[in-house]
Amino acid sequence: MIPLSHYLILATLLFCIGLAVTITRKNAIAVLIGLELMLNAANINLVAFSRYDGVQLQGQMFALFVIVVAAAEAAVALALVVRVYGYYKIADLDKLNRLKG
Amino acid sequence: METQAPTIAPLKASLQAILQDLPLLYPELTLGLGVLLVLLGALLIPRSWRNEGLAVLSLLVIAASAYMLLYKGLPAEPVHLLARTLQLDKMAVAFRLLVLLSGLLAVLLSFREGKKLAGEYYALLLGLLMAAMLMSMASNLLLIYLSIETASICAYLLTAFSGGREGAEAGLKYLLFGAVASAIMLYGMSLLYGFTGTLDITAYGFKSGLMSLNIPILPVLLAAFLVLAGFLFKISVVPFHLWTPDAYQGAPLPAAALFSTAPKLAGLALMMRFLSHFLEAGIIFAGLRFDWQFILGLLAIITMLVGNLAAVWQQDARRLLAYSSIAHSGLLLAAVLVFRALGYKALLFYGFVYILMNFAAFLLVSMLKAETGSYKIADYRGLGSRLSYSSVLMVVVMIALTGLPPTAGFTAKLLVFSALWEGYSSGGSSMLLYLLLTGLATTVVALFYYLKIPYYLYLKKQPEAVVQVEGSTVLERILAGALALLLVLFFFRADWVMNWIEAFTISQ
Repeated sequence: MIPLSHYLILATLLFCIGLAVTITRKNAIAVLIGLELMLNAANINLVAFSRYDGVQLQGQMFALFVIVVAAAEAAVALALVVRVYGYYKIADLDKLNRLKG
Repeated sequence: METQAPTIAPLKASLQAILQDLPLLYPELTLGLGVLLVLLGALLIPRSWRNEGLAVLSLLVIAASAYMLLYKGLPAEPVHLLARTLQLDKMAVAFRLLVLLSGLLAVLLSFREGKKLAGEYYALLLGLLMAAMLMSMASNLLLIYLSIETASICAYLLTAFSGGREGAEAGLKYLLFGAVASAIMLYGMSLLYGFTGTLDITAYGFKSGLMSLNIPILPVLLAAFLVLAGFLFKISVVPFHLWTPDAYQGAPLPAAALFSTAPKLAGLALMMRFLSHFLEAGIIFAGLRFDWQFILGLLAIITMLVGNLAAVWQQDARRLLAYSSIAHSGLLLAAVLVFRALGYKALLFYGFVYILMNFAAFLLVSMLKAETGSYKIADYRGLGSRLSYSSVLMVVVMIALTGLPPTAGFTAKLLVFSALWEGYSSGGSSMLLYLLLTGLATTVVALFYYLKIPYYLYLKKQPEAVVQVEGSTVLERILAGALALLLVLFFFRADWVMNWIEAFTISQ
């Protein structure tokens, strides 16, 4: 059997890669991809831990909800990206600077 | 460990328990029904009076929800609902009432802006309220995540709703910040689940899991901080405040006013609930282990400084209010950190007054926009003589936001400060004293930027060319007058609010 630590290491790596992508990438779509990695890192954790929560499997339940929420969020995000693209003809976040103080 | 197949009988029993709990959730269910009604209404009501019709419908839904809350949804004792995912106590009821109050005011503000927007605007508003009400009750990591996400997704859409470049840009920025913050929170939650084996933060297993010596303190703290990051984002505490000015500038004005109140107060309730369980687990204040008050107090101090100092440079009234709301977040967070009944009372009072004065400020900005066609503070030059009514109210509201007498803003600030002092002098950490001193010092800074608006209104000369765009409506004038009157009234009769708060004190 694969020990728990392997899953946790994988999840940590995924989370860090995702966070790095969201911070460094300029393109809105790339940021969304990084976001998806972060959410799925949490999902791996939840499902891996849920094996030790034999009675209720709360972790697996949680992961299912996360998948649904992530889909809803991605739908809203892509709709907004399309709108922004319609106005600016770019999806580069650094160049969206109409709102300033 | 072997997995056991859950048997059918407990399932039936738990389903029945869920059905029994539903009456206490009628306020949320009413709002949920309201979302559907508004969507239906947007299709059926003829275009000529659609906006008014939907606004009145939303008002009725909110009133019905408040009625359910006050007359049906008050449990005698704190209860756990829906298979221990929600905890309904007096604190939850108080915060749900505050959320409904801010929703009511947001709909009243929407009569003007709503004309330019589609009917879904009101549906999203009600959805945001429902999620914020669930947030203030959630006691299970799953429900916390779901309610925060529901509130956030509604908020992203509302931000982008005003249409145009600014709305789309603000919505996208808000969404990216928010989604990253909630992904970080989710990762922290998955770790907490791993440490404790339960999602229920009120369960005994959660406490014992956190206290068990098998787990080193560092990962527990890390996980807790990741979760808190999600809450701090909703409250817009520095360093999670970057979205606030952009979102407030891009969003329709009533929606911005709502963002600054309902989700923020619900986030504070959530944070209090979450921290109180850590408190019981002995992780806070155990000298050896970790001083939460210090770290969060530091964040609160930075938040007050950043919010107040950045506000000084703002030219746009909406951005000024956004930074002002960040500054107020710092003070609200400070009230949470007293961790005592006194701090809790001060928080409720401040929250209540903050709703009144913030909505009044946003409403007056909206009225001045209708008169001048601009959100720029520089364009308010010399309006004091022409628009004497709105200008006088603006002065009252700005004084309240600064926290000076004779307005309830002063009483609210005084209560928070005295709670901090009491906490400090009765043996609390010296962080409380630093919070108090920062609060006092930043009030002086606040004087500069809040009074900038009256300064422009009265002491600057009016430009020759005056553009009269729409003019404010009677409803707006009455509402603004009533809010300003309440702000002055509650300074003289603060005991009225206090009596109401006493009914919701934490000691039960």
